[in-house]
Amino acid sequence: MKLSRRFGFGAGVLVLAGALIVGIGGCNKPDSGGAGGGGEEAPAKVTEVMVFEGGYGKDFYEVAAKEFTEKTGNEVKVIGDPRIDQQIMPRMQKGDPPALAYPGWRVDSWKAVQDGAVEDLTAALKEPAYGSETPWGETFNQGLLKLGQKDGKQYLMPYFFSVWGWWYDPDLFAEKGWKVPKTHAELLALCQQIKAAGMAPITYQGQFPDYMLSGMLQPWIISSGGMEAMDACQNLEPGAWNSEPVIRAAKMIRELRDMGYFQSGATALSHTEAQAEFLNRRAAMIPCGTWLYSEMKDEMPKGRRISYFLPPVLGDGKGDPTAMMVKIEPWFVPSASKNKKTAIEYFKYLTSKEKATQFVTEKGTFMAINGSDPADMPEDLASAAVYYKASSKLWASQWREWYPDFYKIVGDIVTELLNGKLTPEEFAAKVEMEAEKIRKDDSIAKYKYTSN
Amino acid sequence: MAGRDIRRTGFILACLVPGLVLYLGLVIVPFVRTIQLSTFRFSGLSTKMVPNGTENFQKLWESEQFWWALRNNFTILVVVAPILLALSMALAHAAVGDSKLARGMRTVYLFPNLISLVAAALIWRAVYHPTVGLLRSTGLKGPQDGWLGDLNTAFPSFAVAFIWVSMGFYTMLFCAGLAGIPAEVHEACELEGARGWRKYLWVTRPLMWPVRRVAAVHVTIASLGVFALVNVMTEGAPSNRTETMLNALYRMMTIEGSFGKAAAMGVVMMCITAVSSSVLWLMFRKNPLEGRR
Amino acid sequence: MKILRSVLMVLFALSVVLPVAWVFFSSIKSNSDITLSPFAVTNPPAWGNFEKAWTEQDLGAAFVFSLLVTVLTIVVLIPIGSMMAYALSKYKFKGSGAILGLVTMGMLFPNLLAAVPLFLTMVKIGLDDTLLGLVLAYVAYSLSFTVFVLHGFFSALPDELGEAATIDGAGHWSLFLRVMMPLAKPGIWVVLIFNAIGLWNEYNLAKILMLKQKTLPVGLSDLISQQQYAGDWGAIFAGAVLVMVPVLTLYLVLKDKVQQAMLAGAIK
Repeated sequence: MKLSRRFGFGAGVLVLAGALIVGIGGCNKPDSGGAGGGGEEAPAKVTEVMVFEGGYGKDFYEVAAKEFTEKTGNEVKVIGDPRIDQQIMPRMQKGDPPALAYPGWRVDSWKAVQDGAVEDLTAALKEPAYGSETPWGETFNQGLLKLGQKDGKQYLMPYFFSVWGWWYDPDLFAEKGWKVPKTHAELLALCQQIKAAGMAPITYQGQFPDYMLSGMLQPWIISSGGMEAMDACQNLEPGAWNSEPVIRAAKMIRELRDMGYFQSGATALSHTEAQAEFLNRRAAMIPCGTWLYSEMKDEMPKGRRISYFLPPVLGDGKGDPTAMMVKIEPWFVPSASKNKKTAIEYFKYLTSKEKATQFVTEKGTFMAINGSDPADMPEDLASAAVYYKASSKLWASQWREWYPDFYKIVGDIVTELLNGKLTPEEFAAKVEMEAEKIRKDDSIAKYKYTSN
Repeated sequence: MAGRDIRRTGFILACLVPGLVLYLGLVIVPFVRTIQLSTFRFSGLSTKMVPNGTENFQKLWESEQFWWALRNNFTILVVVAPILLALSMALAHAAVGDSKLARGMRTVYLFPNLISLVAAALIWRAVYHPTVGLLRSTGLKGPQDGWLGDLNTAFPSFAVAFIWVSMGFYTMLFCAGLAGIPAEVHEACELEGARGWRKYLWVTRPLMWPVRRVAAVHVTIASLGVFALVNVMTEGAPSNRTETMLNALYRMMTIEGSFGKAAAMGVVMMCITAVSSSVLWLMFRKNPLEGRR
Repeated sequence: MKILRSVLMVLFALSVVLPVAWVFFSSIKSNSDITLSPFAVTNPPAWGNFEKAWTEQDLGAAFVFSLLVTVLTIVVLIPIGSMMAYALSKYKFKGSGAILGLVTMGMLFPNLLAAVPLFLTMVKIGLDDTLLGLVLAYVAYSLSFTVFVLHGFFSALPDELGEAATIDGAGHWSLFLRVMMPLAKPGIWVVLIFNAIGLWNEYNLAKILMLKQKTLPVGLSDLISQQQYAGDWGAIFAGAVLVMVPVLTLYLVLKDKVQQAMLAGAIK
């Protein structure tokens, strides 16, 4: 058998061919138009809408499409899938995108904006909203609408939104006489009590460091250094990540670990596993967004109630103690679509006050549309709504969307902090080093965030 | 004479063309296009492609994720794979023969290979689960951060799962190799008094050269191509300690939206694969026994 | 020594059988039992998981589609693959070695490396998201292994056989079909069984190429993704059982075939 020799030969051939093609590729631009084309062709008969089928399903959009078709005569077809990103990406690559896309968290929508593949909706926002005289743009919560803007132009649209925070079990707390901690000092005292009662005080979704970043690190940077400290971090200002507030926040995380207040093994838990630990009362508190209930509803032990509270902050911190982190999941209209008009009309219908109110009632989440909170919110959401209404400072973690590579790296570094491999000072220095790389990288578009 | 040649050529062409067309069009061309993509900035979210020279490769070079992926695949290849092969060889020696136990063993040992890797990953996550996992219930508490959460134990824990998934296949190969050794050889060994390690090193091992070569090729491919198991089990966590080249590539392609970087990762992988096959080729160029004859 | 061997075998057999049994076990447990206590029994068994997986989660359709794709691919692959392997092993001509090297080399490189351009190619020839497109891609990506193995088998057949048959007046085709193919049967078994299993479990290409109609592994993995937003572990384990059962059954029925074939393949 001489096959292995031929392997060697064949491998050589491929490497050679590869080198050749790279050489050619350097000078020759591949036809970037692809098979798609586009431009002024007549709209397709059916307007395609691709939606991420997450915890809130796809049924709502389908029903709305049917209603929309009956009302306007324009046919809208909703295609939903938990991995809709895999259908949207190839369609955008060949220049034949759906008319409206809600790709979910797996797609970095800002990259599409940067490529000029997303329609500017600024003009559409000035048109009247569905079934109303008010300009469409004015029907949205302005702070949330702003999250989809770049250089004053509206590319990404909010629909529902979530708020980040911590969760506890009110029945358990009442039974044990535990009090929801407002300050970091109260948190430490409570953790000691919980630990003494033989329970893990806090668990977290360690496999995905996002939760640690959103539930602890960032709120504590804000608490310690004020909102401007976090803004500076988001804008990758030199030295921002290696500053006192960041080190302080890292120390707060490390302290919880060193005191043994985190559930043992939590670093290895996926998000659903950690949340199951919390719901099954093996840990007393967990950081998560307002989707927690809908995400876990099938695994919820009978009669279990959960309530929201803000991350406990420093008693003497510089930051607004009512600061609350919000998160949108963007929708957008791809520029290459031929049915942009119908897509916008359909999205206007979805964002009408009537449909938005219905979404809150059916799905249990906040909506970016003004005046859409109904009287009968689900209990878990109502507990968060109390804080939301009282909050004087809403902010969003936009750098996560803008610099996803950097966000992943910071997550990895947080894991090293949690594992005790890095001290808080080393942590801050390492993040700053990585931020420096992004800062210097001209291939990455830079954005500016202001929380005001 | 000419007619015979034409018929021969026609036959060869008829045999080769359908397969070659498919293979070139759907395998080779896409592979080469991947190489081309590696010199472009391409988000995968539009038709826009911007040539960017070696930028994608520079970014890889500067990222820790890349080096961890490289390091982990390399560790799998030079540390985990030899352990896997040694264990399989030992098990194969145990499993030859006609006893009921041996035959039963030879029935079930391929199960991990046959079930979907998704199922295997489900199983191992349950084994390592820090509160209700099998290891935990048997008293092996593990590190504070959990078997798959601790920076030091995550990779070894993953490696055990990798060995579990693959071991049956190599055991089967080696069983086949052992069974292929003629009975006279065993008798001769018996007469000469060679047994145990001496017999293995001087008789069995050299005779199994062809099987060992097949195993080496397979294990190299498998070591470099680790994907589904990692993707479902850990997604590279914690902090890249279980990252592999393919999983990194997949992440870059999907979540990070940098197809160019993913393609660059692919090119690096192609080169590494080419180098490893060359090394394999050198190692297994010639059957030492054939030379002696 | 003997005891050591037995211990080794028993340990390994248990490590293999118990986890697989555990998956079967979990498929008839309620959702909360699965997450709360992975090693306990639900009473009464939650057979409804299978119904949910089959109908609600559409794994039934995926099951049928996977079966169809696997069978069709095999039907196209085996003739094409054996023709290539035969021509490359029994006919010496300039470049045959290079072609063999090029074709078998595909085994070394994970198909994920080519996934995106492959999809774009499929779009260009209008076969994206079609059964035919997936089957052709599967054939193309299975050729390397198939040709590699069958080349080995054909090479092992003595050339004198061909010479004798040619003297008797047999043409190239009848020599190939009547004499060589039957002799290479063990090799055909190897590639048949291995490809069938591999195709049934195949994941990467199906995920990239098939958007509307899913194969079973992709359906299951999507169910797992979805589980992250609406946990239905029962259906997931039922789905895992659906993926495992056909392969394990095939293996148990054809076990001797597989092992004989492997024996021939590795030792030759």
